[in-house]
Amino acid sequence: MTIIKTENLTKIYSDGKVEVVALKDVSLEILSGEFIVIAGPSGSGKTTLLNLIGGLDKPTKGKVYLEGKDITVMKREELSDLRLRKIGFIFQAYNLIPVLTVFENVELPLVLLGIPEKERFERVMEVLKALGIAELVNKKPNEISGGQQQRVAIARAIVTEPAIVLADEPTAHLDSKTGGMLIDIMQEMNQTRRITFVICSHDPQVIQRARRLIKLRDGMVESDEKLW
Amino acid sequence: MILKLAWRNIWRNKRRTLIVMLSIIVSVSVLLLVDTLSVGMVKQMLDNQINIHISHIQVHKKGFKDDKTVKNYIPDDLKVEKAITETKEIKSYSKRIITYGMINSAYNSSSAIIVGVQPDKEKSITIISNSISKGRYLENENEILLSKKLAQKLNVEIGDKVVLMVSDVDGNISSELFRVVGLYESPYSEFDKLHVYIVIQDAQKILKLDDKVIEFAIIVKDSKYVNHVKERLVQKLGDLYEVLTYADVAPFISIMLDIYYQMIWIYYLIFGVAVCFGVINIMLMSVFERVREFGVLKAIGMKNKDIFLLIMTESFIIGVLGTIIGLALGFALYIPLSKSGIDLGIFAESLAWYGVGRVIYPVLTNFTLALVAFTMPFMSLIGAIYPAVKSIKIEPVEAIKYI
Repeated sequence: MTIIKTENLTKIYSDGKVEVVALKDVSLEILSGEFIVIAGPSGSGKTTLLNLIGGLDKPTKGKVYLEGKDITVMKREELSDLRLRKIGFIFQAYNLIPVLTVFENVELPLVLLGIPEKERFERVMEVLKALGIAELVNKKPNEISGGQQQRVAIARAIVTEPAIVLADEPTAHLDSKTGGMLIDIMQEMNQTRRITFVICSHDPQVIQRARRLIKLRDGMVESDEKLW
Repeated sequence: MILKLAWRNIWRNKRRTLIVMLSIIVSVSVLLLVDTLSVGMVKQMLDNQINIHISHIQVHKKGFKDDKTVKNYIPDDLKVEKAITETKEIKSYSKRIITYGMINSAYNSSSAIIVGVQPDKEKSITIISNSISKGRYLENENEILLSKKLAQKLNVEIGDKVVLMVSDVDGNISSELFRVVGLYESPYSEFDKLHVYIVIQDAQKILKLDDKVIEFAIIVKDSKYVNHVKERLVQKLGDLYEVLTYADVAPFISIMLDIYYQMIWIYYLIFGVAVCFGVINIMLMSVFERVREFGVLKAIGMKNKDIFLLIMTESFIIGVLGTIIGLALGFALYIPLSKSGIDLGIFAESLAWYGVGRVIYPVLTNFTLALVAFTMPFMSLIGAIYPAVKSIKIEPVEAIKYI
């Protein structure tokens, strides 16, 4: 089943004088359960593509369909709702809310969804156990390591059981061992829970694990291959 | 969750929060004191006016208010007395004669307002009998009570003689000798300059009024009955009489009340605006420090209205906490002061000119309490609007990159 489809996706940044083409005519189809790595050098348009797929940014031209619906025409509030229900985000810098505990950070999207307290508790604990960080529930983000913070970020992204998780350079701030463990976890979640992952990265150990590798260069798709 | 987030966010930068909270605490406690003192002063001014002379309600012949001549005596004082005794909300009343005249001593003379009173009954109407600084209150005929101020002007002492000159009911000049038996000193210095007291029989004799009276002064059981009693008396007495409340007799009191209400709004506005700008300042700083966080919250699906609500809640909590502590501090100062009063001795002379004693007792009304309690939380909300609008304008895609 197709989850994401992009048609001639183009993004041009302009400051009035100079125009920079960040993405040009990218057409992709992402299927349910895929584990995709988007690779490419800095400035190749990886993050721009991810932001457009995630409804965080509007394209200059082209369309993004999420489960068949065109998200490029959606209003701000509709997009918020869509992100909450369908998309999980994992950022390079973890971006946990510093005043909330690990439990509360993971619980936050479920609160926004209006899920009752008891069910929230069960779902959060289940995800935290699956990620091996259940003992950290009462810690604040500044009390745990970078690798642990990124696991919490993964927990936050998958707790709502989204259609797709978008991760932007998730291992960039981690050492290679921790980064490798994290990719293992994402892969495990992909396989056991059938969560679709789209990961932007130029980390070789992330690229190695890709089941489908999309290479971008100068805002265009250089190659798109299924590896295994 | 928003409440939890808001509560924790305001303690992220404790010093900043405490500084703005301190400004609210100080504002609330100062406003509470200034307002209660002003109310206390106005109340004292009003009470003094009532208790020195005016009383709650006065009954005269119709037209006396505009033409205070002896000819305007009450035509049927028995009818008035009957109407008064039949009204159960009335606590006490006293008959009076009031006229203008001259008072002469061996050394000096002065114009005077001569008040003929029933000494026993007048004691339950005014505080003059309790304000004797020398000598005693009136008891017998041919005795006169002066203020200490007027006695100094006339250069007379207790036991000295003075002559009152008046124009009687027929328009003839009439005079009589009186012996000074007491000197009074009321809280209202302007009143003291003119008013002298004699017994009502002397006043009737000197004015050739027989047993007629000019005024009934009435004190009601509770000041809230004043207007009701006025209506009852008007109904019973008809068109021949004028029934005046203290507000009718001394309109300047209502002017003073108006001035007080306008002044107090200005105080609230000044403090409120100052707090409002303080809140704008810290909330803007707080929003700019958390741009990335707002970006993340939006990226994971938090709606703009929730972000707006978060900022407003943070500011509101600061406003409410500051107000609660400010009220506690204000009460800690107000409670002892409401018992002991504040001695404004250095302003005693000017206060006496307004009919206010040197010791002011702050008075807390429900209106003041409500105004103090709601102003700062309200201004905190107003101050948070701009930062909250800023926060919802943050674009997540830009904000996440923000360092």
